[in-house]
Amino acid sequence: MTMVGKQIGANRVVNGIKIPHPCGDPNLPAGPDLALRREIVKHALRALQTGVSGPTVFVPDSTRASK
Amino acid sequence: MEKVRVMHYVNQFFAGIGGEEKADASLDFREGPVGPGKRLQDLLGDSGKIVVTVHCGDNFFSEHRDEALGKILQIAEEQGVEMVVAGPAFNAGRYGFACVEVCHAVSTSLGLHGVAGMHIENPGIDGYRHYKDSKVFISPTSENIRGMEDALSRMAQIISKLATESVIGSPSEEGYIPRGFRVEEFVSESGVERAVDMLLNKLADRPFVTEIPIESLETIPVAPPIANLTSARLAIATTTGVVPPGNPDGIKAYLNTQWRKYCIEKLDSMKDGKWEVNHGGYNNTFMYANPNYGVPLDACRKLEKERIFGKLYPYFYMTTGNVARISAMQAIGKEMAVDMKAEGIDGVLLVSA
Repeated sequence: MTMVGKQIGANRVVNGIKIPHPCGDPNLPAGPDLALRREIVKHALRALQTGVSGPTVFVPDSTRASK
Repeated sequence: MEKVRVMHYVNQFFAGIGGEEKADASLDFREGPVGPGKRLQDLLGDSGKIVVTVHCGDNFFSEHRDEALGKILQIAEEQGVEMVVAGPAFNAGRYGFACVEVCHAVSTSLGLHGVAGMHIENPGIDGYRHYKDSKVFISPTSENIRGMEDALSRMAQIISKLATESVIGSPSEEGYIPRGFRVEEFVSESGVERAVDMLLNKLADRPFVTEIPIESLETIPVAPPIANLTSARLAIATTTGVVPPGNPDGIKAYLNTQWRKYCIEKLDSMKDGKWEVNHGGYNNTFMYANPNYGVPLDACRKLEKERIFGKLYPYFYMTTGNVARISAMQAIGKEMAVDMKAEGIDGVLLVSA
């Protein structure tokens, strides 16, 4: 759904996992699931510290398959 | 006259496969009309024939867009399709998005006409105005399925007109949603004469129609980056519908118009509290089991303790963003932003389902 986020004009969009569970993956055990969530949040923090000129999508490495 | 061979795209719901629990259903097709396609076929009469119905789960489409579009193009070629019709999607965002993508792909790759139907505030309309495909037309519909008959008859009118290859006029003449571009045409009066006429009509309070409507699409100013994250106060916001037990504020799962803040001050994880999920637009099972998927509190607390950022605001902001009016959501966004500024919040993590 990052494309929709971009289209409506959100300036910093971070790619998540899936619509029903954007921050994490219930198929993973609790530990790796939390680690994945932490990576997505950390990526969002990086986005907040990054200057952009318009809608920009940030893609954490472990969410690339869900892009 | 040969009937135009039409492909109809519908989501899992209108194909009769299931509701939100089937939103991951992969793309498939059936010969002939299905669901709303049956009534559309009646309305088309001799001008077109729905030869194939392609159906796909809304989540599957948005998560496997390229794969789904590739299959659709393949089916269209195999079935000798001459026109594609999608929806109507009313105000369902993911469905509207899919309808626009399908029409765009078929129009650009195969040079065919595409006709879809959806509400003017469906987020799919943004894509339609972005692509500006000269062969794609979207009929306006009501917000919900109650306007099905009207939606289908408007779509059928455009389909029939395209099938007979007569010239399609302007949006105001033909009733489709403007795509945001102008076409050249011959007129009897020069621009100067038309402009003076318009001005005289305006001064005399007589009706007139502008030739260049002003785009109302809002550009959101870019917030500057946060310079010092270690002292920044951050808040979590979500549109995923996570609410306290019993949904005490009556947040609506559809067409919601309000927002709230809920306290997370004493929690290290959303699992330490009791929550429900009130969102009618996605399968809530995973969110119910672990609301950290929508309010990533456990991860934020760890990062806060490690001093990666300053402080987490003790409440999370919450609204449900399902088939809501864009105007209502813009108002909610503005109210939230005012509150966030007043609370001294430097940055926001907004999780959207």
